[in-house]
Amino acid sequence: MKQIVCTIFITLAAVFLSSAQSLMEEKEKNTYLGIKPEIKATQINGSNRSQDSHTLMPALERVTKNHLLFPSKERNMIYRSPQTGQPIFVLAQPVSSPTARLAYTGEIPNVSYLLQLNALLGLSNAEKMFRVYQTDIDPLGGKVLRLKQYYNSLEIEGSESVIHINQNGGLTSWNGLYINPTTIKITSFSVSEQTAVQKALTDLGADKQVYELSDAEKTFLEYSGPSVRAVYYIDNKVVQTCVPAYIIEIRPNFMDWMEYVIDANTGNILAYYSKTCHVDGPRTSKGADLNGAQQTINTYQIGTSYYAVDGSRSMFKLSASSMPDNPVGAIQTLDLKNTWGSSTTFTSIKSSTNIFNATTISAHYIAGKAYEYYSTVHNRNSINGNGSTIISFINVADPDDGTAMDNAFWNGKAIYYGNGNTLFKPLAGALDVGGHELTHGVIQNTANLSYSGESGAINESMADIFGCMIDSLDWQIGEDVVKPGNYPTGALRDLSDPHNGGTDLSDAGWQPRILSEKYKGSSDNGGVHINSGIPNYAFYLLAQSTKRTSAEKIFYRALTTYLVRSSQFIDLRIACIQAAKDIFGNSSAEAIATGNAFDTVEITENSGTPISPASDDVFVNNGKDLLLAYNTNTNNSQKLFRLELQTSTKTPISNTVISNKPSVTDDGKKAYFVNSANQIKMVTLTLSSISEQIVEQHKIWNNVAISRDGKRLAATTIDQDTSIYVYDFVSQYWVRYQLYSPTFSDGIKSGGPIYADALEWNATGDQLVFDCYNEFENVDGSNISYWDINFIQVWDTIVNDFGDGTITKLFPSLPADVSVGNPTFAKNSRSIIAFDYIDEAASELYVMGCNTENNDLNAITYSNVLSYPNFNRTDTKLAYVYDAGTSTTSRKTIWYIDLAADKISSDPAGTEDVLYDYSTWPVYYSNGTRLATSVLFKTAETQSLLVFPNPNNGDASLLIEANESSNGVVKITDASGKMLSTISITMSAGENNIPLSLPANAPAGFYLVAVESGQKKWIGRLVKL
Amino acid sequence: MKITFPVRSLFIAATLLWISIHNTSGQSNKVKIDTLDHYIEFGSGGGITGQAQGHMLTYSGNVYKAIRTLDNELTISFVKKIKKSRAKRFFKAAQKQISPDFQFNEPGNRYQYLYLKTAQYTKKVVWGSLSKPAPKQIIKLSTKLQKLIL
Repeated sequence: MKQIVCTIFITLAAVFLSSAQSLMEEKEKNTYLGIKPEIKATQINGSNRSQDSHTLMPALERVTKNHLLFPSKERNMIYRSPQTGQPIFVLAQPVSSPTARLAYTGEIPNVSYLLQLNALLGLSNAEKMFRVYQTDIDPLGGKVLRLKQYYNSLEIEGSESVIHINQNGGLTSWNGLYINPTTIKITSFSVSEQTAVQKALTDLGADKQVYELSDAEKTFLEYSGPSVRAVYYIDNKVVQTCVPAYIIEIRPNFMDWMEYVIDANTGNILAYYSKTCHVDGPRTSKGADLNGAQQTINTYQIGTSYYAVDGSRSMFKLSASSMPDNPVGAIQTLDLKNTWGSSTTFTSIKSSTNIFNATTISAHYIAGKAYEYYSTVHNRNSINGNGSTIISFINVADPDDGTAMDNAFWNGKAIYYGNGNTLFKPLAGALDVGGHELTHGVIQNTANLSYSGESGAINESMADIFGCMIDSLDWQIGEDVVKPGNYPTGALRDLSDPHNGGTDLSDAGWQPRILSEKYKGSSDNGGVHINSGIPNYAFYLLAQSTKRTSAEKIFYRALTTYLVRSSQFIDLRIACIQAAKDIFGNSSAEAIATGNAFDTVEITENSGTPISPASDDVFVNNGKDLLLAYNTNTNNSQKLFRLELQTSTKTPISNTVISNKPSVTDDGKKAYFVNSANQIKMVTLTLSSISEQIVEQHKIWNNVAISRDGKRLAATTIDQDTSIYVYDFVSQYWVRYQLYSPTFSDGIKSGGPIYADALEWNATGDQLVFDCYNEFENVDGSNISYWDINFIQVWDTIVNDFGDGTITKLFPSLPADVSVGNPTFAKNSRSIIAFDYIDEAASELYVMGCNTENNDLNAITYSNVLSYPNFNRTDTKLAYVYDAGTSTTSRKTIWYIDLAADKISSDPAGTEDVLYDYSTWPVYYSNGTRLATSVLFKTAETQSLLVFPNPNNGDASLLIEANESSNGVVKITDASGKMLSTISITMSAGENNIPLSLPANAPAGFYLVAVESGQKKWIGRLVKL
Repeated sequence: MKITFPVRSLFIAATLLWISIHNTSGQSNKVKIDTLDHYIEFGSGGGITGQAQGHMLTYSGNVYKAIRTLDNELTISFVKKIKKSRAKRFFKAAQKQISPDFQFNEPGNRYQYLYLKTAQYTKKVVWGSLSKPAPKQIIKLSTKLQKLIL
């Protein structure tokens, strides 16, 4: 089995790399102090090209449960704080039984709702933790309970939440803030109340007059002395903590009224506020806007200065604000002062007279009107629905060259208004423009529609629609700021007539009105500002046939509860019709009118595909749906078992204790795994003749993967060995691939991969996907360590020999404390991968899917242990591991989740359920075959290319047999995939001898030479000595 | 001086065209416009108008202001000329970073773009999505190009 080429002594004097107890613990390799057996392998070091290598996906951003369609196994919709990971909004499952709904007639005691919070929030004593302090009637029916949280019978100051009860008495949602009691580390109050009061008085004495009030003053102020409340206080200064504290209200003199929060153990001042109302606080200011109209805006007074900060709304949180520059829950207008580039600065807008200029008044007024619109019409609390500060910038110059900006935009954080140039007057002069931009923020926080193609057109349309609803006098957009002569109607766009006075796209402001007029070019990111005319017109028609108020509610509900990032026009139609049914009834005139409106603009039921499915590029295996899994029940000696999914028949396969996930050939006949003695074993899966044998006896192996055709095997060892080993059953060669980091980020001083663990072959058997533990040293001397996912080229299908070991990363970078691992390919799509995403800081684990072809990335579901995801035969389900045990007892369980057609997101109409209890390492497989022409790859017809002489000194010739004269291109890439040169050639019919020279500075090594001509492609390998 | 091209006739109209261009000081300069099948365009677009504007660097070192309407009509006006050797370095860097296989199209409400047109291939890179930032090497190249117009 082992033909010697050269000997590599696998003496891995590994250094123990300490790491904290983590979710990745089971993948960590321990130090091995003994001497390893040796195997003989050719070593390939791959190509260590740094700095400019490409990755398959863009940088990975942090994931939270907000990214999940169903963030709970119980399918309650749970939104969590990205900062703390605690639930902040939970939509409870609706009461499923109509009978149960009808049965509700009487008053349900509040405690029953508090008890329900145990299940919703994962608590055990919610009825003791929360107290209802206020009950309000919900105008839409039902009621609203307001809760405060208590700990040890003391209030947790600021921990307030709300329960919504529907008219049937069902709990529909909980939202707000609560503190997990386990995070309260200190419970004692060691500082006395008197000491705390003295601490406050001492602090007050530094800048205020402090004296004992006279009896007359006390009577007037109804004040008998400092009041002290013992509480648990949420301190958000650095990281969120909850500590025992005293809240002290104190009047140091006749004028001032102060509140102090004193730590009840350290005596430190945690916070202090002035409660004196007659100086600082919300004010109003009147003035002319950019159109000369008198407007009233809300400002904020601090001392003798007034700021363009609206702190008058219910979302405003003074205690969390740093006024005037960093308010929380306010509407704030800032001035960029036409600065740009590296000189960009902005300031708070301040006035000593409470009089502001027209641009400030316009921008500030618009933001307030937009806030009020969403609040009153849609019951939405600001842009993010949770009271986020609305920020507008005025006097914005073109960010690229500092010229006057003829535009306004939303950049994901704020609204930016240019002062106009050739086409427009100052953009802040238009309420609909501001409403449009603020709506982009709402979209970002709801459907998060992308900005290209039909999704982008829906994005722009929604911004136009709600901009138009906020500025409800007409159906036009931008008519208040367009300079004369630039647009035929004087408006940028018109919802009531998207043609807007033009005849085609060459006329400024023209948009298609119906689908057959849709722009199909690539300009404007696929016509996002052009094709928005079609849904705009559908909205207009709906508003005309019903009411504006009905249409806006339908589109808002569609946006906020149905549409997703990739939604197309057909999705919009379906979403709006469903939204109309939700609000007005299944057979309502509004639902019918919605369908009619979309029919008129030609977005019909058959006009598109709801989502972009990931196509199969390999024929599907035609065998049975089977699952190989590992029994974790220690009382059961049968370990590896087969589950026939159609009949749920379980068949034991092996009693061998194994150390990692098994790997199965594509025909379902053999499984490979590593036993507890760290040897590689193979078991046949044919039930009539199950047999098991050791195929590699050295006791060094940790993980193994068999290629789909069963011809090659890849493995990693139990040591911290920076290698992957590949064995070819045909040539009986081992090759050891040395791992390297293909990219370095800025700020990295040294380090790299330490060892690989999980492996899997791709469909064509030339590439492995693997996860890898890395350690790096930053330039500041600090160390970072993480797991990432890489691809390595281990086989060359053209020359049918071992590959050059080129490594490509899946992600160029990961968020801090995040690792990714256990990658698995979809069974039938080369570009689809599922993997574990582990956030060590938040102690959260997600099962993710990505499509490297279009860079789409989704959180499919979550788990609480490494989930080892695996696609089923048809890529319609994903199996994964979830620990259903308690805090002290593990009970690993295999779950499955139905996938949407894109294969990387959960199916909204699908299910997620337990597949098999007490088991792990699920591997779906089938015992059939794929069709003979099994690869559906859409590549050109590929032939081998003769390169001679080979090896050479960089000068060689290509011999190509062409059927006809044609033009072609010769592309030379180095082993890492870097394109070195592209040469145009002309070929004659018959044999062509084409001279070729590598660049003079090309180092010795392997190079790939490809010749492309029409659908034909020749590929060969050049070796420079 | 401004030159407006419907894009489809851009390359024909501009091929090896000698034109007189007045700079901002009123002096007349002879500037050779290359075939314009070899240029780098960089800029930004989006917002409520959807218009895109930026600058164009040709292989011979001419820098133009470039404005594109929604239907991709391009208007260019001469800004400055840089050394041909410097322009070549930009093209070398651009071709290195934006290879024929490179893909990145993640616009936001406001987006930035790099458009590379060479004799062999054309490629547009778009970024602006908060959730999908552009690769560092693209940002770096864009920043260097932006400095051309400072």
